[in-house]
Amino acid sequence: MLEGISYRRVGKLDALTLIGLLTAVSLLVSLVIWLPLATKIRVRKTEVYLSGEPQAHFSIGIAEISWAVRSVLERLYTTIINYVQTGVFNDWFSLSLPYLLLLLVLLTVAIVSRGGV
Amino acid sequence: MDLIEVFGRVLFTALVYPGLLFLTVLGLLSQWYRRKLVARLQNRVGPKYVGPIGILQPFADLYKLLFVKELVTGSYSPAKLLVYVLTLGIAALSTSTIFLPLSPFSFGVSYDILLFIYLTLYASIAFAIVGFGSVSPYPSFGGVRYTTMMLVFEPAVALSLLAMVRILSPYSLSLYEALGKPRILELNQPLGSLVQVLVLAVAGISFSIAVLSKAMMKPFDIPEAETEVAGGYLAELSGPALGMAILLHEVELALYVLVFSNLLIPVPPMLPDALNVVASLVKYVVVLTLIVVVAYSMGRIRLDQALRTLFKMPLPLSILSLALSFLV
Repeated sequence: MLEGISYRRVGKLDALTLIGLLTAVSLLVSLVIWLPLATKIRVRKTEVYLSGEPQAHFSIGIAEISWAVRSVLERLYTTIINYVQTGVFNDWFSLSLPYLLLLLVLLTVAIVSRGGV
Repeated sequence: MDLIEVFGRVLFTALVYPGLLFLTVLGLLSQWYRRKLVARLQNRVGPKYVGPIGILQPFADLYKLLFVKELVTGSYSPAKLLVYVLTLGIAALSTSTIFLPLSPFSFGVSYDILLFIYLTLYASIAFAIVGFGSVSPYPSFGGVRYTTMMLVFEPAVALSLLAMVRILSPYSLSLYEALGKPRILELNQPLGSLVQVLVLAVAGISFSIAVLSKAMMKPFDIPEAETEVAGGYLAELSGPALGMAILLHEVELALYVLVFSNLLIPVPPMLPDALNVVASLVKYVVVLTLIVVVAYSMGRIRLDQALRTLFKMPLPLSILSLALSFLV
């Protein structure tokens, strides 16, 4: 069944043309659904639903947006800060040494697998 | 094939099969199945009145929301554009089905998994826009909660999809080929086939958890928590906007589960003939049942707990599965 149209035959199209084509079809399909629907939609404006509270009580600040991310990363941050910010350079160096060694190993593997520099 | 022929194929696939029409029917039937299954788990009856054993209830609900109810809103302007944002999400998901070998008009290209991820990403963006586009605090909180989880579940979904496609179509990284002509290693390559099974299992666990959070199913239904934020991003939606949001949610879940189930169980392959289509749908129902039973046996967790779970489980597992996939 797959021989009917193999991916290699379509592969002649370059990537940018295909991305543009797929995006254009998405836009076209969305208009085909939305335009007939939009003529039938009846809109009624009301007040914003705030459970009866005045709107001034509700506002979302940047701090509130990031609270969950901060609370999750807090433990990691505290650990690193306590470990590194001791005023001794060697503490920072001993923390980063394993990562530097890992990078060195990866670099060596990459160079060797490609057959030298 | 020239550009016009490719355009015609993509347009037909996106509009009819396995695009908009097919995904809508599949998504709504899956909604009925999910509601019925959850009702049985909770000792209720579930949908009952419209159609035999209530099977047409989701269709009736959608029709009423789209064509009968009016759009009542105080926080979106222009309100009709809100419906368009959701419609664009459905259209992008429908277009991405060009890479599913369910129809003879479908096709694939090398690295088409990246195009699939690009197109399906818009559904998440649409939900985020609906949340942030409102001046009401409830949808805004829903949007904040959704985008916070998105930081973790999107990379996990993308990486586990890449790992599964990498192991089934190693030379072209094509979703079309991974689904339609998967490279199953023979038993005379014991190490390779073991790694292949391991990658599919690890990526499968990662993907199923990430998809639960992407589809806002329990225990990750935090963006639409009714008791805390009055329905979250759904709070200010009604009539056609609510109908489109529900349809986008169902279509997204159906597409992801269809792709996931057929990557996880690659035999028999997904092909356009009737027998293989039925086999693909059987795999879909089995995986959907497992996901729904696991999801609805849990309660909702807090946002920070959800983030911690996502950071600990699906994200490292997806990275691990992608790394393992390079061993074969």
